[in-house]
Amino acid sequence: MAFQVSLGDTAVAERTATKLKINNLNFFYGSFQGLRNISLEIPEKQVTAFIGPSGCGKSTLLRVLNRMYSLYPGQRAEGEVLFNGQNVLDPKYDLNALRGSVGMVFQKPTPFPMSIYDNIAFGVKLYESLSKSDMDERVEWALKKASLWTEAKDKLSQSGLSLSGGQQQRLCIARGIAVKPEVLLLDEPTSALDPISTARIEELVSELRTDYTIVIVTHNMQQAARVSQHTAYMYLGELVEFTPTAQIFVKPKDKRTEDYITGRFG
Amino acid sequence: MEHTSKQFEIELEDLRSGLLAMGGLVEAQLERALEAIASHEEELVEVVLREEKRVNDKQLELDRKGMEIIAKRQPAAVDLRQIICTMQAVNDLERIGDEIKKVAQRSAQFQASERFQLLRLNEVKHIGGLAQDMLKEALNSFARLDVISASEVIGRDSAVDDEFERIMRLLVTYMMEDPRTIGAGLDVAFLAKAIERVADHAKNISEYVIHIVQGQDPRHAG
Repeated sequence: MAFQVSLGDTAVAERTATKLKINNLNFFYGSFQGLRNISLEIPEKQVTAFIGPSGCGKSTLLRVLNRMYSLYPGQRAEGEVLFNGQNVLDPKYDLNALRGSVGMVFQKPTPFPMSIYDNIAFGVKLYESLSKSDMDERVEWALKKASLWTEAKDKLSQSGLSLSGGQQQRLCIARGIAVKPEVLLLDEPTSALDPISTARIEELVSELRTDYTIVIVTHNMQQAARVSQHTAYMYLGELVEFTPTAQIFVKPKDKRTEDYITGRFG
Repeated sequence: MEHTSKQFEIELEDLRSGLLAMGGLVEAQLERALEAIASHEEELVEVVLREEKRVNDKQLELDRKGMEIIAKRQPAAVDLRQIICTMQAVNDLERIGDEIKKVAQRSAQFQASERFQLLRLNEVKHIGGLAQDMLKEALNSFARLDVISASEVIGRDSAVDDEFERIMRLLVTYMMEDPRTIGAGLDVAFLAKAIERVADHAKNISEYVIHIVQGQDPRHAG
């Protein structure tokens, strides 16, 4: 009997161009191998989620994408990460340009100890020299994009640290998009936030997808199911499965993925 | 492999055994209704009508349990399919209960010539037996998550459909011969139709087994 897999419209995540192409990536923390032979294509203007148990390498993979790891001695990557066709792992690749086009938001909100306005303007100044009015416009644009404008517009000169946790995280996202990157990396962006702030960030991620390629690492599988179009399941440094999200949570291809997402792990 | 959460495991098992218990109730109901056709015993008919309420209660109970698990656990993949399909199977069992009620009610009212009494006994009993076997096997395959026996039950549905068609042709012939038999003929037709629906629901239950195990929905696959 031939049965058809029908998963509804969402299953067929639209195929778009590839934004980041990872080829045979291996990553080492000294002698420990954190990532094993990862190959994966991250589609443009879609949300790609990495899930997996602690220590599976999902954050490591995220940190390779903007070469965040190169801040630490003894860490090295082998293989290729092609961003618009160029290998960002190549030491000759301009790290500043890379950080400008591949932004990152971390698990804990990390506003700079400066005003809300300067939190956003600081990064922009590194890449562009804007007039005061252009900068004002950019700050407003970024805060609006991060849906923080209405809450912050009357206290732009107050410290970023005066905001609530959820607002701080949205400030970090505003800071991340203010430099107009092409890719936004989110490393467990809501794990320190309450459910309402989480919902707002998730909403924001869905909106930002129209302009940016987003890669999100999350421990919350329902979050991956809600916000992403593609999900990668990683385990022990390997990529086990990379599938449209609607499919992975209904019928994963790999038994190991199924055991993980149904809570039969370990 | 078992769930890390033992409690989740218990909840799923509770839902599954609840469905099988409900299946047992419905099977017993069908047995009584088919017997009522043959024996014309009013007491049996009353039992069927009374027991139908228990089937309905079971539906409400299992629907509530299924919803609770979904709300609490946010199940995914095979667990999600198992819960959704179990709730759908509960729905089919309840509908079987309704069909059986129709059979019982019609049996109670049945007054007809000898020819139709014979028709009722032989033809309806035969199609009833086919449906009964399908229901039994469907529930067994659900209990064991046995895809092979589930596929086999699905295949049997067309035999029941054919049997129903045959009864219809027979009835039409009789009713054309003698319009006075139309009332009794329609009674038999409704009985046969209700039983044919029981087989359809048994087929649905078997399809859920395939959906749970293989993750592919075989409904409307032609």
